[in-house]
Amino acid sequence: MADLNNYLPAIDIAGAVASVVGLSFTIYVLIVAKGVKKQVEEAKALARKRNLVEELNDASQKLEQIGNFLQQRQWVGVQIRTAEVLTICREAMARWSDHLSEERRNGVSTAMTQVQTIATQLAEIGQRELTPRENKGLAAAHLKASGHISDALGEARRQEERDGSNDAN
Amino acid sequence: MPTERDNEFVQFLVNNTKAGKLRWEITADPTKFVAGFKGKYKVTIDRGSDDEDRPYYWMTLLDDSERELMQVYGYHNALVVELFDLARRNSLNVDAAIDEIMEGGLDDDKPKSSSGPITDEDIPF
Repeated sequence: MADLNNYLPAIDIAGAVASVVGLSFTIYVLIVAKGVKKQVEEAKALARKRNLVEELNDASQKLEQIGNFLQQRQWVGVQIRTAEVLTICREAMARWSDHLSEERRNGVSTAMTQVQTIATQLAEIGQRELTPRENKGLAAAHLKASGHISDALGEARRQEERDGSNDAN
Repeated sequence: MPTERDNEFVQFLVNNTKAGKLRWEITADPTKFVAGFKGKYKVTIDRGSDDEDRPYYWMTLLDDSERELMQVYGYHNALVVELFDLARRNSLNVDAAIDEIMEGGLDDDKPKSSSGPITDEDIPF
């Protein structure tokens, strides 16, 4: 029993050291886990922004095609592409609108109305020949809409590049 | 019928358009103009014509899902008619064009074409 009493302080010290080591390890693991979580969140945010860039890029390309279809007077092509652009913009704004400034969000929203009116005007015109005024109106609305989408795409790309360079640092 | 609040909103649009704080844009439809707000709302102003070709006007507020939040017609609030004209002028930069022309003045010293008969002094040789 006396022998055991001699060992008790040593056991206490060993226990205390083990507790301190255990606590330190737990804290270390927590810090590491927090860092990993932050990295995962940043990667997710970056992936989300990449998607916004991709979506806006897609809308921009489709708008370019609308321009070509308008020039070639291929109204069916215009109708199909306008519907696609509207769907892309609506989805992109529903999912990632918080990644664009207010001005750019207003721009995308305005572009949607401009694209929509291209489709409605063509539906109204039907099969008859366009008057020069109607033609000019369609082209002007198309140019304005393309400009808004390009501006939003530029901002999304800039944001993505900024995030990318922050990650590298 | 528009509510008091709806009419206040129309007045707000008129005032801000006059002050140049609101930017209206053209659409493919020459009788429709659009302006965005707060990154999630937009207002459109339209002119249509009835069966007897009389014009009528309406203003629509939409949210980011293109849902119609409210609509005010010109025959309920005359300001909607004024707003249409303001939006048209704003989108086409009519006032800026007029200012530019008037500020520069015209080159009165140099007549664009001589109206009188040609004299010997007009011939440079």
